[in-house]
Amino acid sequence: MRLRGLNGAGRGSSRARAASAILLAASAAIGISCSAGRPIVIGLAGSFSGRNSALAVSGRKAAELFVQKANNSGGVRGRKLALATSDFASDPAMVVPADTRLLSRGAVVIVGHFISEEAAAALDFANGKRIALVSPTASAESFSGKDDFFFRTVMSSGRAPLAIAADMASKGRKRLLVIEVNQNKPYDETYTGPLARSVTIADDISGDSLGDIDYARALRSKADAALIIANSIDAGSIAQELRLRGFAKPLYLSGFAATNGEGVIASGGSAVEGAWFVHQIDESQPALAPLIAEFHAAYGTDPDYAALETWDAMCLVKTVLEAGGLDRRSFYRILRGTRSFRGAANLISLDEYGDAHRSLFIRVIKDHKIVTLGRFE
Amino acid sequence: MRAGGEKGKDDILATSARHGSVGGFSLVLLLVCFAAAVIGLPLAGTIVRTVSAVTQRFRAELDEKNVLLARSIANEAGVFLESYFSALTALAAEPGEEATRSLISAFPAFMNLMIVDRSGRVEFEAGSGKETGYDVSQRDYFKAAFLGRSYLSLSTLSHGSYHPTVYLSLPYPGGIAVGELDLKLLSDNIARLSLRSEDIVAIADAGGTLVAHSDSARVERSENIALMSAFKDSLHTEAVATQDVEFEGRRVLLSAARVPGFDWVAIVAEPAAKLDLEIARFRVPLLFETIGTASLVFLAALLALTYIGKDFTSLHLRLHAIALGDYDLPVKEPIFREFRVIALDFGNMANAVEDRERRLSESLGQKEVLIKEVHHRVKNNLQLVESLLSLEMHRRDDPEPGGSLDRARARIQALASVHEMLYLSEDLARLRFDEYLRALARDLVNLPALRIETEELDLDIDRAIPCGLIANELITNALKYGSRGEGTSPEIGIRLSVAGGFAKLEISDNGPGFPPRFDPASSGSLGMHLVLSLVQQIEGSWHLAGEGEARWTIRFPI
Repeated sequence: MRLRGLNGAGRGSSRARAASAILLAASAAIGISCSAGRPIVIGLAGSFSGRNSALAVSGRKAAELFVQKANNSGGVRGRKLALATSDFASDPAMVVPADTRLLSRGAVVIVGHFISEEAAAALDFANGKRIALVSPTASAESFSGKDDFFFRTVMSSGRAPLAIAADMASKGRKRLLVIEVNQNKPYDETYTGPLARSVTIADDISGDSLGDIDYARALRSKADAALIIANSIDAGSIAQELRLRGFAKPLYLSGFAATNGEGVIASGGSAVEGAWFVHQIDESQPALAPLIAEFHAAYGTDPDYAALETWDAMCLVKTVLEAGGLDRRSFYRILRGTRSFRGAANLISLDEYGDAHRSLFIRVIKDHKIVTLGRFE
Repeated sequence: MRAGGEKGKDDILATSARHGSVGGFSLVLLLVCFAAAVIGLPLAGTIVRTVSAVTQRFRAELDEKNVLLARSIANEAGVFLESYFSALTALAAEPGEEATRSLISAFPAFMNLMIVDRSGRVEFEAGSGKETGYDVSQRDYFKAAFLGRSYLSLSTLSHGSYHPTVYLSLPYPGGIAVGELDLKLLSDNIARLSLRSEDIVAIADAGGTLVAHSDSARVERSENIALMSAFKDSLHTEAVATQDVEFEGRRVLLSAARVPGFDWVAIVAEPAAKLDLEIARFRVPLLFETIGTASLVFLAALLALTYIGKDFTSLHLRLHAIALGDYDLPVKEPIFREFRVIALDFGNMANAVEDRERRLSESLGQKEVLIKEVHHRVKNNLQLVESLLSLEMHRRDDPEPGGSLDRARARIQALASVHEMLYLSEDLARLRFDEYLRALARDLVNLPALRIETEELDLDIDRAIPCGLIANELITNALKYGSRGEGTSPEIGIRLSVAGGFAKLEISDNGPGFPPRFDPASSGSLGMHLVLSLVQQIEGSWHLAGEGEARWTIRFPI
């Protein structure tokens, strides 16, 4: 009886399996037919307003131009692309709600999280919801070497403090004053940690806003140079304040300060003249000229670092979509196996953890222009 | 009335039903299709044209309204900027702290007012006060004004508040007057317009970044419309007609106008669904009215065609009944006058045909009576001749059976029998030869040993008479020679069969038969000659079997 019962159950379950297979096939067919004409939604998340909005606003321009261009060329696999945006308003607490909104709008991937602190706030969410995040600019070293749902087309800034330390050493500078505005902690730590091991930190002055910076203390630091870790506007303002107060030592800037093109020069004026920093993009590369021209024609301004990096991120997304990553799961699977893609200027390689490897350019502000001195090897 | 005329209406209908399968196109169906086409197509065309015209009218009205609104807002923005440039002009005319403070309080959209010296250093600042002493020489507003022209910047982040802002700058001999605008005020002004929540009013700078919007959060997010063709177009023309575009995640009808004197663009958009709703509000009643009218007209046409079909059927039944001889079939009177006229004509025709038929029938009856009379008289005359021959036989005291007179008498009797049967039958042209043969045999043969087998056979008079004579001769011959000897009764067999379009008459007896090599044609017997001659006349053939019995077989076509 038991055997018969088992056999009966076996037959029943095989019938159930067959029925399930048919239903599944029908559902898949319906799903395919339903999704065939729908656009592929790409989420774009960032701080489009508030203190850190410069990066995301520039990135959004690039992403919108990219999507328009892709759609004008027929989209991806016969489907149009659609960009869904969600704003963090420069508040990390807004990251998860904003990402949730994108998820509910059907995003197969979320591009963005331009600031490392925002990316850090999204990690648990992305891993939990199993949706790939592709950041164009979040370069904190803490993201490196992790097998998770976070990918980036920018290289870690982990080598930037090494470059600064090397330059200081080459110029006989030993004591460094660090001034940071507390808005991007993982990124700040990418600089401060290695630097503390390489040079003498004369002082580390930080504040939640520009008004909190203790410049008198800065003047007392007896540093050979100062490093400002802040966005372009704030870095310019800090430089202005330092110069107004008579701080005449050389300035180093974090790459963050140069993410808004020459915004740091506009903000800092002659106060940032001679400032030294390393950056992952050299806008003067001839390969970028067509994109720069296209961007300029569309918006009347040249693309800045954030726009160029976002373009690269969109290139990666399109590469994965073209390879069949049309839903969240397959997008992640294909993205995880992607080791290189064609960016705006050249081929960009990704390591097994989804972190890009790129060149690092040594740049300096000279005569109110950003000049590339060479590559940091 | 003829036999056909006795058929009932059901029979006629059944016949009509068979006629229904004759093929060809149905006229009524064709008329229905024609009516549907004649009514439906123009109505459909009218609907399409009307809806199209109304849509165009709605669209034109909306275009006019929105372009007007866009121009009005563009003008307002232009006046707004002009007034703030006037304030800068006033400051440039009398640069100083007092004027700066006075102007910033008089012009609420100024977040910040700066006096910048020729080197780019901020000399004085009213507002945020955060940048006094700063070098702003690398900022666009300074570089442009330094070249001697007033300048309106693209939207940028405020250095003081991180909100989007625009800078106005104006050169004066000693430096540059710079104003920073609070864009929220501009958005608030737009929001104060009595707009519906779904309507969009916005202003974008030369780079497409929103500087004002009925939803100020979009300005705060520095949203950009540079990729919209309407924006690019409006930068080069005074106003752009309404376009159906995707904007802010929905389909809208968007109009744009350039802000006079500045590279700003005012746009007005409202959801396309609203126009669709307006059109639907018109379209739905129109559609119902049209469908209602079309349905009524079509039903009327269908009803008319149904009655026409019924009239056709009625006429058809009438005509069919006439064809079948039923001139009085009660059929429904047609509904339409024209068909009634035709029905009347059919009635007249039926009466005429019936009258003619009746007269023909009467004439035929008279002829039948005459023919019967002729046959009767022929039979009587033949019987008279036979009686005369019988009298002659008795007078000669030679009543020998089988003698020449007796044979002649028998032949005449056979002929008379044919005529008798003809005038007694209904059909004057044909007779039942099998019945005739039986009667003839009974008359001639009074023997118990007569075997007669017949199948039913109708013959016309031209064959019946020769066949009757042949039978008479052969039976008489059998009676005469059929006996084998004294005291022996002749046994006579008569068999008439029909097969394959031929009749076969067999007459046999039990006599000694014919001698070997007997040839009836050269026998010199009148009877034999008569038989052969008559067989030839009816295009038949004969066969004589003479061994052990006498058997005549005559085969002829029928």
